[in-house]
Amino acid sequence: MQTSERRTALRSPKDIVVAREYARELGSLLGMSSIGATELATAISEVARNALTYGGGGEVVLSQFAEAKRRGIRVTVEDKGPGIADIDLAMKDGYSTGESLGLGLPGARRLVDKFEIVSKVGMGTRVTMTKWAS
Amino acid sequence: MLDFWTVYEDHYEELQRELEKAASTDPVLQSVIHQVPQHVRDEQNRLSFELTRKALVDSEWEPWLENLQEQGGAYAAMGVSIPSWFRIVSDFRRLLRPSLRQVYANDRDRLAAAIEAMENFTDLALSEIATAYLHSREELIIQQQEAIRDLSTPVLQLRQGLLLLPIVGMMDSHRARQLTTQLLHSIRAQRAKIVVLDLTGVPTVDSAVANHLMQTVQAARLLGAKGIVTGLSAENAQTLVRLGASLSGLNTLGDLQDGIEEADRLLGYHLIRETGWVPPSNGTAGD
Amino acid sequence: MGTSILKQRDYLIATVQSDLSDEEWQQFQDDLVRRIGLTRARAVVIDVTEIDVLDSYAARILGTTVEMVRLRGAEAIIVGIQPDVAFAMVQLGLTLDRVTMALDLEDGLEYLDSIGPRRRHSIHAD
Repeated sequence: MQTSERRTALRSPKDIVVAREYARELGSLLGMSSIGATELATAISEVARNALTYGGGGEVVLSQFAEAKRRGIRVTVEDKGPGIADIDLAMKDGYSTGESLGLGLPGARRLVDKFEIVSKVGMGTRVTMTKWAS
Repeated sequence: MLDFWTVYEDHYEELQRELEKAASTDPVLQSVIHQVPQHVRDEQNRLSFELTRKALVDSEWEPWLENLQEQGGAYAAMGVSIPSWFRIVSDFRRLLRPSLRQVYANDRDRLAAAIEAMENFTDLALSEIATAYLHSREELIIQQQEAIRDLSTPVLQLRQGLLLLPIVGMMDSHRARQLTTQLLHSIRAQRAKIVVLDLTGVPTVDSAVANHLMQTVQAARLLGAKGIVTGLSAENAQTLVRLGASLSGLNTLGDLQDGIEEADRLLGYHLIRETGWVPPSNGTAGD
Repeated sequence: MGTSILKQRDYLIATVQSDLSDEEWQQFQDDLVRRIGLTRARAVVIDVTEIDVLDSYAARILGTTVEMVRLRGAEAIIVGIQPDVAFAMVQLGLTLDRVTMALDLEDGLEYLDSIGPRRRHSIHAD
């Protein structure tokens, strides 16, 4: 059985493309639908870009994840940047009022099934997303 | 437990015969017995017996539990439900009790302990089987729901280049998403230029419907298809606006008939272009 | 790079052949705007058929590219957005409202033919 984890360092925009490719690869291994894989890849793009632009780079880890009878992909995007001072503000969803997406985080959350963000000023930020395969 | 086991083991053959006789009075069990060939049943019984021994004597419960789960699921697929299993277990206890009483007649404590062991054992068996049965029913229901969803293809092609999607209320978000992606794939496959979204089947618009509608229209536009909304009552139109749905650039027409006529008009325009006629003087392409 | 820009009649066909990184998108925009000036094409078809993901950055760049092309007196349309990509985009609110879309290159060229050359020197006011 192939290893079901993929990691990539986030040092340049090209690495975001690599991370998205990994998502597709894992997605098709798990039989994820095309739309699901696209949504996950798009969410990874948004979050990884944040980590690169505001977090000074970091790492993306993708792995297979199972819970009860469901299988899916879990992605963590981590950076050791300045951290987010007001997480609630960063996660505020301006979608319904048509505001433009500043950090892309609320958008990413809409595209995945589970979304967690941990951030500490001066320490960094870690976003964990899960998308089910079915 | 061991006391219970020794009596069970000694009376196994006889017990099996009696159980089978009792089962033959239950129509479901009877049909199952007929479906499964004798040698397979014998093998299954032998395996169960061995695993039971492992569990009661060697305290290896895992294999026995797993086997029960498998059996529960497998028989559920054949229509054996909880009442039937309950019956089998009752019969088992009823048939074994006299033997237990006979063997431990002189030791009331041992008898009580053996009977309790039997009852715990059979309770555990029944609960494992019941759980497995429920899981298999749940899975079956989910499969059937999906099959129904796949069968109903609400995206209709009315004419070349024209698709109709009736919107209904009370759709869960999974279903709404499925419809939108289905529509988008249809737009591409059939090169549709116009999508009529008919809201006649939605008495009251809520934010879920509004969201679904907006996303569908916007996504269709990204594929070069124009959305026409029909069947929108004045009240629903107001609700949509209040919910922040942007109706600008959206043709919202009276009823479905109007929508189709408008679509024809727009498509007719395109047709004129293909045969090389001069387009209307304002030069806008079906906007 | 993963893009190509070819002249076809009065048009430029700008094809994005693979997923681009942010820097490559920026490069694409620079190239395209430069080529419009050089070739005096009257319209551009930006073909994203091969793209699997269009995130907020890519959408923004596409939007500004279209605007920049229009400021130079030409029209720009986008074709080939895939169904899955379109759905993900609208969930993110990336609707590119001010841009005209067509299903693919064929439909795109048909549309451009229909709006005629008179658009050439006008600023597109959509």
